[in-house]
Amino acid sequence: MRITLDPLTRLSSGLRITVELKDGYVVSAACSGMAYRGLEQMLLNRSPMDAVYLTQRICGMCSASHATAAAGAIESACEATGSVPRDALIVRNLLNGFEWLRSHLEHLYLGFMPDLADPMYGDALNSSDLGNLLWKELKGRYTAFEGEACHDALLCIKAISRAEGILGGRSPGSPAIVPGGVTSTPTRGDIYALKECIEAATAIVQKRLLGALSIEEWLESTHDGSGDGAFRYLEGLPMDSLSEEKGWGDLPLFMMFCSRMLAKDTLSLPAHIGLDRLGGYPLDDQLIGFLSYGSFYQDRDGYVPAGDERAGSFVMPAGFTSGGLQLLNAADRLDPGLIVEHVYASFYEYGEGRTSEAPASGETIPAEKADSIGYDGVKYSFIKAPRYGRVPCETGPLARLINGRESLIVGTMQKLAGHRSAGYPLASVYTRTLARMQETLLLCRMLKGWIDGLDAGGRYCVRVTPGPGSAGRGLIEAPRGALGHWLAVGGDGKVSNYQVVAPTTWNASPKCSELKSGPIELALLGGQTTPSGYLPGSEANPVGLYHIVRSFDPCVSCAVHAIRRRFDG
Amino acid sequence: MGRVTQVSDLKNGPCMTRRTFLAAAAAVGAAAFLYSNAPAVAAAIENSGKRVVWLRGSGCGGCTSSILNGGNPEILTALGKISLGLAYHDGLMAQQGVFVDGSPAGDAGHNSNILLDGLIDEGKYVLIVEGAILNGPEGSGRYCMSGATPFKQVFMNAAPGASCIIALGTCASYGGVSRLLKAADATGVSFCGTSRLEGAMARYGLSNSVINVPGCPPNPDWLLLTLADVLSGVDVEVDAYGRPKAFFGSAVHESCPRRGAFDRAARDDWFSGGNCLYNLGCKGMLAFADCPSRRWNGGASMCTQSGGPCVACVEPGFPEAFMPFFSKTESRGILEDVDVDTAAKIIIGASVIGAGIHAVKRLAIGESGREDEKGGKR
Repeated sequence: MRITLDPLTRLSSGLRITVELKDGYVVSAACSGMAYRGLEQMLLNRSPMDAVYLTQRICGMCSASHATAAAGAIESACEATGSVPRDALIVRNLLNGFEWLRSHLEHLYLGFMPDLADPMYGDALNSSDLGNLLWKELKGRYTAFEGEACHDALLCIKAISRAEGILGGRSPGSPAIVPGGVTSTPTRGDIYALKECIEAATAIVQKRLLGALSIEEWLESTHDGSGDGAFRYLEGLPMDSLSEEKGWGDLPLFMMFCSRMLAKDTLSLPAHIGLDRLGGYPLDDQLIGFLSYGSFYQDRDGYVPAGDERAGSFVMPAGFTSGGLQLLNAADRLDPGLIVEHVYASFYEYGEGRTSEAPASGETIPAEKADSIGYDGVKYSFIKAPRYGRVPCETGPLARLINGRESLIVGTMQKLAGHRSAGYPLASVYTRTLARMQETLLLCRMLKGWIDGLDAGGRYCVRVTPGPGSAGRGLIEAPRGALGHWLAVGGDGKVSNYQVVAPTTWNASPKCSELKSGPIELALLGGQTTPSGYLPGSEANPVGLYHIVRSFDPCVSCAVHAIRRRFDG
Repeated sequence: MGRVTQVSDLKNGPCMTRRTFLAAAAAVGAAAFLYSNAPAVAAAIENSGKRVVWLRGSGCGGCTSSILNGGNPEILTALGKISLGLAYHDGLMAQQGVFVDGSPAGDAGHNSNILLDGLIDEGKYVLIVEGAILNGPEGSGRYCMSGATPFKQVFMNAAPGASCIIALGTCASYGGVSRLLKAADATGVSFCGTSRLEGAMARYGLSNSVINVPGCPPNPDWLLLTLADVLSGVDVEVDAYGRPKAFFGSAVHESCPRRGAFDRAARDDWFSGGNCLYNLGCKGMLAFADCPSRRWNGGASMCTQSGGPCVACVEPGFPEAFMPFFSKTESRGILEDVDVDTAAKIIIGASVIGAGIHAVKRLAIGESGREDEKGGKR
């Protein structure tokens, strides 16, 4: 049986998923980006400075991330990364932090969680009182556009957007992040207003995600401590009511009831949704890795760009962890030189028959014949296939928290590993979503720290000019994961090459020339149409597959760009 | 608190009071209106009995992001109420496209493609288009697909049944950023740049009325107020580029928060100096939008206020005509892509404003000349 999801909605447009089902299990999967946008092509022969504003138009969800990466590429080309003023870096942290927060909320409450309110779960959960209580919460909170959580998320986005406006003029597409620093010079009144916005947004996040505990209480016991704190807390919550007031905020509710390992195997509860069995990878170091470029500048003048000392330069560290997930050791150091892109299964060709290229070099020729664009052949996507060395990589909140060895995620994975005989993958829909929720709380803490450290006055921008023949790269983390911009300036001072490798290019990549699938494809393999296995008729509404793909928060707008260096006509 | 009565009036007969309502909106001319009158706008939308079908072509999703930004939950709730099992927005709705062995599966409750077909059959919806319509390669439109169909075709199917089309954002209005990629052969709904003949409507022989709400991204107020208008059957007065005159009537420069600095000739030549951004490439003289009075993100600020040069993102020529973004307007032949009407507006504007005339005159007659002052110090 062949199931095609097209369009997969509740994410940015243009994703198509095709799976073959055999005996109820996915045996092959193809992930296609169905649009070609080619923003990089548009930058060719233009002023390098234009990249900060033009590349923001790659993505309406993470425009500040693209601006930051583009500014980073220009600053590295000018060898000016060490002189960007501290105040500018704090303002960039705030603008990026706001964007992450709203992006996570949009993904959770407008994208991912509504699938938990699918009527299918009303039927699946009605065999026990606890199940009925759970369904009442899921439906009331997460129903698309009507749920209480959706409403709260919109209120929170409003508070965040006001903060983005105060600091960046507007969002998305704020003009504030420029090479050399930022344009805005917040006044004391602005800073006071920003504090209010952050407090308002944080209060909603606290009420939504935690219910009873404060964010600090939660982070102290789960993030700063050993990671066991969360399980002890969950076990102590009452079962006669699953309301937020009783402590069942969205995070505890999800953490408990969307884990079969916790709800069924450990606590023998009569209701659960087994998201911890969906969307994992086979355990093989070579098959998959977890990649992060590092994000948020340290509180000091200047920063060290990608490369040698990268790990020390960012609040959330860069790194790579291979798929075996040996979490006792630290993550490997990031080596940007290992990044290559393949076009074997993508609607592009490289010059002279080459199959892979480093982003900094290479000419990519997009398919120019209508007939060559179809979705059943060897080539099936407008997304290229980046690999780290030879390894496809998942990127995003889960990869970041894995590479940072974050306590809650490491603790949860250790617990899952203790039940390995039951076949729980360590990376799954469950841990991926848990990581996004935990990161949302961490963002609230970081935003407060940054705004408390910002004062009126100060220096916000230094002069930079990318010279002829220079080249640079800006590697940062966007909400969805590792984002890289590579820039080369020609002898005439104009852009001679520009490449963007976005988080979704990694996550939604098709097969590479070694025929290795990308992360979403791998996560789909072995998947089933519902978390409790294949049910008759579920192929028409395969909620299990939705969970898997949406847990990556794919953004096709970001992923479909390529540059053709020579334009012969 | 007269507006409270207006809410109940609207509930009884939205059309009757729409004039007053809109007049008030125009008079206040600030985001404050939408915020203090959100229930009235919500009621107008909710009571219209019309559905909204929102299609997204080639774009970045920023228009939707910006509308969520507007974040008036009352209005979004109202949109949600109309959308009960009816309206279509691929970023927000519960459904998704599902095919089993190549055939559409399930029903409109789960399958977005079946839902859309049903909506199109019934007709009489307001169609919001976000993102450009791509014709490439070779006229196939396959650079942008949805539901196994080129988006171009999806649009052609949906347009005829629409009682009104709103082109949201500069991509949908004029082609926008997508137009920079020649191979994509991108066009807006009724315009391609400044040309109506090359717009999708003319190219495909369609004739519905289209209102453009440009901006990269558009201000949420622009859409929500236009939508409230359209849903309650009021004619929206538009300019030569199909934009509601109420929002796109005067140049950003005219009431720019940094106008005082311009008049004093205090101009920065690098960022974060706090003065006029003209030397840094600000295109506020060529951009017609009410950003300075309306402001953005809940009235918080706007581009030039935060030190970012205006890039004229609401204009048909955006972005190409206004690049390089950081180069002075007069140091490049910017008038090439701006029509005479627009240029005239600038000059009329300038004659009233006195101190600005020098630069604008040079701009209008294309004199490149020497710099009349060194950029503001600091």
